[in-house]
Amino acid sequence: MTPAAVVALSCIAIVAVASTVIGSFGVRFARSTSDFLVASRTVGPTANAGAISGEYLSAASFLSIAGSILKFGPDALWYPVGFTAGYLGLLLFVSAPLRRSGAYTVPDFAEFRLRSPAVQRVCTILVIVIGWMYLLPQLQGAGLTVATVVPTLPSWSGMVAAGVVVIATVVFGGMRSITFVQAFQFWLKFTALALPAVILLIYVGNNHQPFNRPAPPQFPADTTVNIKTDVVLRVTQPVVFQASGTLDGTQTYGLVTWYPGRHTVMKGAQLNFTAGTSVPVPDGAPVRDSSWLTPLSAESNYQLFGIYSLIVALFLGTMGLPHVLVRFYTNPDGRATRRTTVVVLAMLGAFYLLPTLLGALSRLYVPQLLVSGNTDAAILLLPTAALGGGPLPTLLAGLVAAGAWAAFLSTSSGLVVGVAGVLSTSPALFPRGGVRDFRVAAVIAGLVPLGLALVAARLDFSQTVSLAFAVAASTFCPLLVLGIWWSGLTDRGAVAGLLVGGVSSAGAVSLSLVGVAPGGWAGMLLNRPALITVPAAFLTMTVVSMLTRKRLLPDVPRLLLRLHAPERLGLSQDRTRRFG
Amino acid sequence: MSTDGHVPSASISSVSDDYFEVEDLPAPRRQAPPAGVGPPTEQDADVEPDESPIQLRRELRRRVDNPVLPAGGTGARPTGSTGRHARRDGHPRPPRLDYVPRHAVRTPGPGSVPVSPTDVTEVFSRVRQDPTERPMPARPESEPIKLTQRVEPLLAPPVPAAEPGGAEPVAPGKRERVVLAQRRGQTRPVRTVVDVQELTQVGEVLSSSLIRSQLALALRIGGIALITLGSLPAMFLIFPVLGRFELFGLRLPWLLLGVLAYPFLLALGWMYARSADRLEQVFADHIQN
Repeated sequence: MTPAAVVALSCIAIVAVASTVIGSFGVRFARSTSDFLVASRTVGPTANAGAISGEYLSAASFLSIAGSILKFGPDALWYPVGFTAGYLGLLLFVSAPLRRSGAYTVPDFAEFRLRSPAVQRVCTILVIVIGWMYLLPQLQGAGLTVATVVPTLPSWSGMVAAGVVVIATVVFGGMRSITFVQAFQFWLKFTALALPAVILLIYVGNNHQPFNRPAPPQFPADTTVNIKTDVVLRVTQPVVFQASGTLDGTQTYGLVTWYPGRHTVMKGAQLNFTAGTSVPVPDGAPVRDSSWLTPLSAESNYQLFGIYSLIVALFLGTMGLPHVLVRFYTNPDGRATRRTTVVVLAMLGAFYLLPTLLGALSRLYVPQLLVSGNTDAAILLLPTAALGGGPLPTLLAGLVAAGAWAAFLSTSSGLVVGVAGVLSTSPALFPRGGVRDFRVAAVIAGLVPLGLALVAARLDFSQTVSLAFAVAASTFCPLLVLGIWWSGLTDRGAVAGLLVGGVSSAGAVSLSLVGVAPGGWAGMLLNRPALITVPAAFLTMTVVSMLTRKRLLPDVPRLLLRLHAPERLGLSQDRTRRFG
Repeated sequence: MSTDGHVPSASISSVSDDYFEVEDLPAPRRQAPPAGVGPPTEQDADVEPDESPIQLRRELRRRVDNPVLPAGGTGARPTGSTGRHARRDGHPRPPRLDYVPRHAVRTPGPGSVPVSPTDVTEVFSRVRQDPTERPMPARPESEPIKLTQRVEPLLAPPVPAAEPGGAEPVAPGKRERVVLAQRRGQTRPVRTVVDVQELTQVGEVLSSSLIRSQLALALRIGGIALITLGSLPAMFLIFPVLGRFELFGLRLPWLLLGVLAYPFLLALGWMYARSADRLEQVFADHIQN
């Protein structure tokens, strides 16, 4: 094991142990839900915003944005913009009314608004589906991180380690109960990217190759690329390299020359490029640096649809994520909730500048990731690739790895807590619903996605995560928005809309995850279903509600008033602060 | 906020000035709470403002015992137990500061008799525990109260004011028609709390206007965000030159999406939070005045 690997592994271990230990301390502070709630009400908007951001910034944000930028250029910038804009959507349509409803999760909200066990049940299932889909890339990201910093370790070891740490954290403490831990995680992640970004800017400055070259990126040094998944590459200039493995269908050893066109490389091949060679890029991504710099440069006819679908999914999906909504309940009132969300917008905006910058720089320093397809590892490799192998870059790489682990752990713990909370309170599975049941549920909530992560195809994390966003946007967004703003929503309408949106989006998503990816329209629809499924869900919910108008609750105006009236009128539900 | 807490007591005492001197109230009213005032429902144990009737009963008793006491403000109110269980034990507690009694709002509901502070039907009406619960059934023990001769002169003057829209003009001497007994003949849902009904009506108008203005605000800001950001991909497609345009050393798409989008979203969010807070403020002030 190289010294760099030792440093990185130690940083990872410190983060993992620290979260578990602090989580188990949390038990002393927060024994029960009400402890948690009352304690949390003392949290100010800034601290709470830090906690929300800390829980929100996941593997997709930390690793995959830079990787997508490396591959696709400005088109990938829609990911961070959408992740941030999602909080604007949440602020506009959901945050304060949801806080005032006193609901803690979407099933709670459904119960509050529609008083229908059926809706509640459907919501419970959807929370679990979305939570597990979101957990999947987190665990895979942990595996990728470990496999990147220590090339001798297989990636499943990282997944299993992350899964065990997350389950242990939740079972022994519930990290969520301590807001400042999450806030700390945000600042850790921020530092882990800000420090390398600043140092890279100081050291590299403008002494780098120009971005704007009408040629493919070049290998900055002699590079060996190990292909771990089958890949189709494209070259526009003849490329000469050493290879061993199956290339273009033939077993090859020795010098290979690729002429412009598409080339297939099978798993297990090893390619050796000398410095200055043009980098073959994955099929579908822009080849030349100059086209990479411009938007809509990918060679697909449907990319405009894809971008709009992504915008819809991210803008409307954030409000349906289980681990996000829970956090908003810790605000004292609706007004503070709004302020918290505004601070979250500021924090996310500041954070996302960093992966953008690092992603652009990685086009110059780690283009070999384009060949192996492991673009998500760009940020992990960038410090040593750009600065050489000295102690400072090694430490920076360790810091980045630690930040990545903080990202997985905080997001995954939030998700496991959310899913376990919903599981353990569902009477069908756990009739008693005590702390013990919660722990059993937490183990289930963590083990299932771990199993999925080990078998599922690995897409880019940003892609997997946006699939979860698409499901959330197609199900919970219509329920919350219509439930909060429209008095005509009925339980039948809600169930119908949830089923239409959920089945269509989750169906498309699971086909993508299994790896069935037809080309053309169908493939784009499966990968980015939100532009179709979200309007379909809204429409179904509205139409069915209007058809079943007789089932309207008699006191809907009252419920809506309670959602929207400021707390000082005393219509809200939880009053423990004043009278407790 | 707390200054508004005087609203209930003010109207209570104005009622009691005219009415509480009644010496002989039927025993059930004093001893046992009316059937409608059961234990509070679990869910909203602390939402409902149902301490008002209890408070009223106590006030009533106090004044019956001590008729010379001037109608006081909140200072005279006993402040024994303020705990959560006070209500269930039957102990009084101070009224919620933020509770606006229904009769403080003058707009009558449909089919209701216009209410004045002297409307005696207010006194025993039961406030629903949970705003979401259905109207309670009629209270069985509502019976006409015969006033004793002694109180007659006291009650006589306010009577015309008590029923300005009443079916029959009330002569000063016929006090049986005046006090409490009128409920029996009427179809309006008196005991499900005329006053709650009334706030519902007012509240519905006000709250739907609040919700509509909040929704309009949210849609406006969301529309600005979606149109501004959403037009970018189309613009880049239609005018490819935009994608190559450089500003401050950055290509326009990188500058817009990588840097400027975040302050833009933040500014929208800040604007929304401020405007939404202000809308709520206006609503709350309106309600509480």
